[in-house]
Amino acid sequence: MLGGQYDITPEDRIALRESLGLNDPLPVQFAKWVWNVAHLDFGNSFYYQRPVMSLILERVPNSLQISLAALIVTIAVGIPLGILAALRRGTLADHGIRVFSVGGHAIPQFWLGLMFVLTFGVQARWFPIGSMNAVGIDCGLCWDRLWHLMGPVAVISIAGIANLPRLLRTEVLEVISQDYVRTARSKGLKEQAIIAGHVLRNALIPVVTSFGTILLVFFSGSLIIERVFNWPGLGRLTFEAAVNKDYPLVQAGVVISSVLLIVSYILRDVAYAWVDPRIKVR
Amino acid sequence: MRRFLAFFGVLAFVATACGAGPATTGGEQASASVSEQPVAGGRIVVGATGDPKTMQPVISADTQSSLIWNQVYPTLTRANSKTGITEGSLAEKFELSSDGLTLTFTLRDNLVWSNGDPFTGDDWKYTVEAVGRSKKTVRKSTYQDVVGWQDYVDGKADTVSGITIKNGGKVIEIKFNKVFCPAVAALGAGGAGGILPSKPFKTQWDNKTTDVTKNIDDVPYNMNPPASMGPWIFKSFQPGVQVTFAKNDKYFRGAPLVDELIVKVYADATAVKNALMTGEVTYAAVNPSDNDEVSKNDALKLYRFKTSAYDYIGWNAKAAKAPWLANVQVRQALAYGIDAPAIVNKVLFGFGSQIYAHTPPVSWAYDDSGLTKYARDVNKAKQLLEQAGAKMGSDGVYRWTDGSPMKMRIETNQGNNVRETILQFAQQQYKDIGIEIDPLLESFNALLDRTQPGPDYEGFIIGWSLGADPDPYSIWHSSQTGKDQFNDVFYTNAKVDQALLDNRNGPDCSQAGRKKALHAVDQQLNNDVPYTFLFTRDSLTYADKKLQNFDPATYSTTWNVEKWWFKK
Repeated sequence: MLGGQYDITPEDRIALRESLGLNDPLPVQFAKWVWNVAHLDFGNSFYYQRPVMSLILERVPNSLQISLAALIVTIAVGIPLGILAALRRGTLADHGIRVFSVGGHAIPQFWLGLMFVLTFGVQARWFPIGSMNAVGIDCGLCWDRLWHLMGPVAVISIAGIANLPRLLRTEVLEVISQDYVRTARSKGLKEQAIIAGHVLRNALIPVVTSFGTILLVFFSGSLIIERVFNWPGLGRLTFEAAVNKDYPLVQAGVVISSVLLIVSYILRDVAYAWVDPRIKVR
Repeated sequence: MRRFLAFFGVLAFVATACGAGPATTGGEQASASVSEQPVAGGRIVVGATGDPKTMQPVISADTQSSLIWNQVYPTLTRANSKTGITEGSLAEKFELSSDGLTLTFTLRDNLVWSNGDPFTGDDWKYTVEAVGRSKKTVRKSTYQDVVGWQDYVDGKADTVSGITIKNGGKVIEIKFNKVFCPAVAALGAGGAGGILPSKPFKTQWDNKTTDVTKNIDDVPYNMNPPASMGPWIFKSFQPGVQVTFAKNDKYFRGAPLVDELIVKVYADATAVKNALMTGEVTYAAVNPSDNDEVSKNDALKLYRFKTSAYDYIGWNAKAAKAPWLANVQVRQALAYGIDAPAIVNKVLFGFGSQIYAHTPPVSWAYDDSGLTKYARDVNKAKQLLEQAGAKMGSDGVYRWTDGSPMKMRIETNQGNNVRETILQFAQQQYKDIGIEIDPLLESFNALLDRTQPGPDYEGFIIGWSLGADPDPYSIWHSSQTGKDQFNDVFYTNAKVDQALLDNRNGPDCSQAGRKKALHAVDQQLNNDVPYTFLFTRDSLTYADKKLQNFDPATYSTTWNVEKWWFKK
């Protein structure tokens, strides 16, 4: 935290210990920290000498852009693929989706990210090598931002997309052979209506379960991807804080990811009630 | 000076306010195309590997921060970009009195801050006093010999009595308690820190006070420079993205031709190299191992020059497990035992040169006359070991006089490919002279901790990055072996101690006098080899071919930034 500078006098060292509160007993230090956290005060970053909370709030919108875009892409591509695999069981499409799923699962994200930067960024120059905007452009909602989002979102989505069809395929196949689906068919309902209204809704329950940790997965997933794509988000901030031994910032990062986990569990439970009204608490 | 981490990569862009050394450029000279008419406009983009912690020099101690404030807060003097000799910057003249106790800076005429305020000696004095009261600064030792300094620091006075501003702010006169030769360069460069605009800063911290609880450490202007004396004016800071500067039309060397400077943040050196390859970044230094790839890019041009950093293997003379390291003949054998030129070829791909003592070849104080050029010689090394009293054992490893086998550890920082490879080399080559090496890799911080002066380490591979004004006192003086001090090989030599003091405290503070003293140090070090001195690296800086008048050198890349322009 002294930036490699060892030109520090013993008096300065004592003053520094005092100002950081390191002379208090550990339980007292911890109680103080918890009390401050309860007031959303994570202290000052050692590295930036600024309040941790303001550093984090600066970065949250940037991270959310990637996470939300990746979530939308994952659902928009993953769910249709899962249904397709089930309905076209045994065909080329089904096998293709299975191979993609296994591949997407097996390849680590950071490697995909690096390969993306190297081939499409540095060599082909189709996509930027990273960052949120090209140098000199500063906009939030524009073609330039979208262009910069494509790489990181594609890489994060691939892992999610690889996961969904496998879950959904098994579940759809099970639901589709149920009596009520046969009844629906015999009523003369259209196939699309049966799939959307009867099959998918019941098949979604395990998918929602798998989304339980999704907020956290997106947060931690972006930790590496944000670094690879030079995206100034929360993940990169936390990663760099860990490298810099910036403890207040790392602590805040851990607290926030814990909160995100709890929030995503709550969201999951709400979503259960939506896909399956039987689960509603009375 | 600083311990030199060298992730061997983008050390680049640090517009060091200090500097020295003959620069060689690869390819044609940068000035070859100057006959054309310069065109104004364009944008310079440089890469940084992190956000600035602060934009204010008093509390800054890292390169990300200095890269920012260097653009807006210059100093009274600077080191010549090539020779490292102190030259005027905001001061046109500087003079040390014949007794060495009074230093006078005379400022240039008509200096104006970007906000229209005149620049005077009061700005310099304000900055010095800000250092005096700061709890976060690392620059206090720069001013310790100034008369009245300690009283101001302790709050017994509301001004530093030894500093007088005369002639309407044009002349700064500083009185010292004792002669300190490096003071000229150190005070001129503000202890490697720029000068603050006192008028706006005074509204946030007033220097004329005895209240030591108040200081400049947390004032809002630290992250928002209110005025500039440098070539650029601070415009905006987007955390994790970039810092943007506009040209300063009032810059005292002339307004820059280029409109805008952007310091963009990248995750690491590889990302900066990628940005250089795609033309996003205007210039950057690259690793020797990347040189092959980058040199194939037709849009870039190479500028090669020497750095003032060197790598070495230190030998702890007080090592409990290797008592032979206290013996000068053993250390000489270790110097003969390793092939430094081969290391330069293998790990630096030839982009470096062997050194034989402490002063780097770029320094004005460098003089290699009379130095032994240790070249690998296995027989000579063995002969020296035997003269020292070692006896060859049946397993090919020498036994020391106490009968123990000559086995020892060499440690270095993990992740630094260059040093890891040196360690492999050393292990192999020392085996040939009958000494067994036990290699150890650890984090850089662990290495610094482990080499705190003491008996628990034997050999270690690390480096020094040296400032332009040579003062190796803290590395070699026999008194500097305490905790957090740098003589961690326990080198002791009365002649060297005296020469180090001559370089510092005169009485002859002239360049010739100091050079003589430093040569005496180098000669003794070259004979005693407390380190096996290995090599200094060359910087391989690549820049956009369209960039004209770019002339980076050892001590500064941006010294003539106002003259840079882009060919259409």
